[in-house]
Amino acid sequence: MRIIAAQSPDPGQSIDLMSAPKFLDDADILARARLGDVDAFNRLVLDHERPVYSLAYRLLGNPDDAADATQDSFVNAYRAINGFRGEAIRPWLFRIAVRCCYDQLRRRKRRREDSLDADSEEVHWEPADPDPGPELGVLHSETGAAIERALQSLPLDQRTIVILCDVQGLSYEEAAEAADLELGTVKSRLSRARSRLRELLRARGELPGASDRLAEM
Amino acid sequence: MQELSNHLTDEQLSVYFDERLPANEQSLVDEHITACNACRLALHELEATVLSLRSLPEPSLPRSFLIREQPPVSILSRILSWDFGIRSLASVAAALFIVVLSIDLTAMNRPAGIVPLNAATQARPVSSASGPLPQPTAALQPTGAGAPAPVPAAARRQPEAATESAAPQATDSARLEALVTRDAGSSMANSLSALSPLTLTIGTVAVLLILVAVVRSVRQA
Repeated sequence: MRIIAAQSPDPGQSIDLMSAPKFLDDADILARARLGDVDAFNRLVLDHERPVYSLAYRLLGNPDDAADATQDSFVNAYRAINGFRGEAIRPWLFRIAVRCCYDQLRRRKRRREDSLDADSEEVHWEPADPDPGPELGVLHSETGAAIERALQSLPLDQRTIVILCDVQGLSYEEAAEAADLELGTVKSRLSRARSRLRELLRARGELPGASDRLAEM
Repeated sequence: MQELSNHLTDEQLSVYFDERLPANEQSLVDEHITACNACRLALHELEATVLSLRSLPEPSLPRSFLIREQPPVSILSRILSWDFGIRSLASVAAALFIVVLSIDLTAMNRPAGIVPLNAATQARPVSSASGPLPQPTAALQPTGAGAPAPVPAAARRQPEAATESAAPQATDSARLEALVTRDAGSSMANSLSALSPLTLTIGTVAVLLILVAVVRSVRQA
């Protein structure tokens, strides 16, 4: 059976909102979704679309590509959910999302090569929303923008791990599952990414708090 | 317990910050951090960096990502769809072409059909390539009053062969080459003309349909 995006224009609103009862817990919803219940699966989408989109947006640096990758992730997740045997669904969803983002980056690279504009592999970060409202003030504050730019300047493998661990808050084990890596590789990539970010932020004068705190000691 | 002599590595700092070092190593690093200003500063910078990352807000969603099932497409509408139809037609035309072509080839390979196609091309090169034949010997001449012995085919060709033997060798080779080339071309033309108009028509239609299907597939890819 073919699965397509609902394409509801407003985030958080469903088309025939979820006939699944509200009192079902995550395990019940997951069990129903495994049986192919689209409404139950859409409950999972509502719970996880923000972090998945956030991951895709920071990996791809572009809201349109991030939206496409997020939609692909949920469609692929629905098709594969019958094979999900883990306990935590978020690392599993992130794993699918990371693959979709990498596919998106490959397509973007191919498009650039086709248009003979393959001068740089650097991701050009675009703000997700030009008018994000007060709750996203940090994103567009000077420090937030500096951190976003520093993130985008990291190599893709390091960026993936630091987003999974430090932005999304996954443990080493969950990040290893999401990025399909060994635990040791996660530790070393995360330390390299953090070190590089630290240097970048220090060079831009974005870490005054650290030296102040040291002076207090 | 052994004391750390050098500064901490980036990985040690990172894993220490996450409190994932083994217990014995954790206490060593604790002692080192207390004593070493440089590593303490590095740790605080790391902490500030990670806290900045954790404080990044989630970007607002541009739209909903809910999914829905699309009703299954009926077989009739699939058949009526252009792409599916063109592929089906191309397959049917190709299969039909193979059938009528094999019927035509079977008809062409009958013994009666071989003679008119190959008779002319076989006799002439053999006589030219065999070179000048020996002059008739006395043993081959009819002698006596008895019934004349049947004359072998080679002997009947002797006068023509003898005439050709007088021509220069270079002329023979050129003629042979021209003959073979002309025969190859005419053989292809003969083969095509031997096919029935129905076969040729079906073959042309099949090739056109396959080309259209391939071009559409490439464009879609």
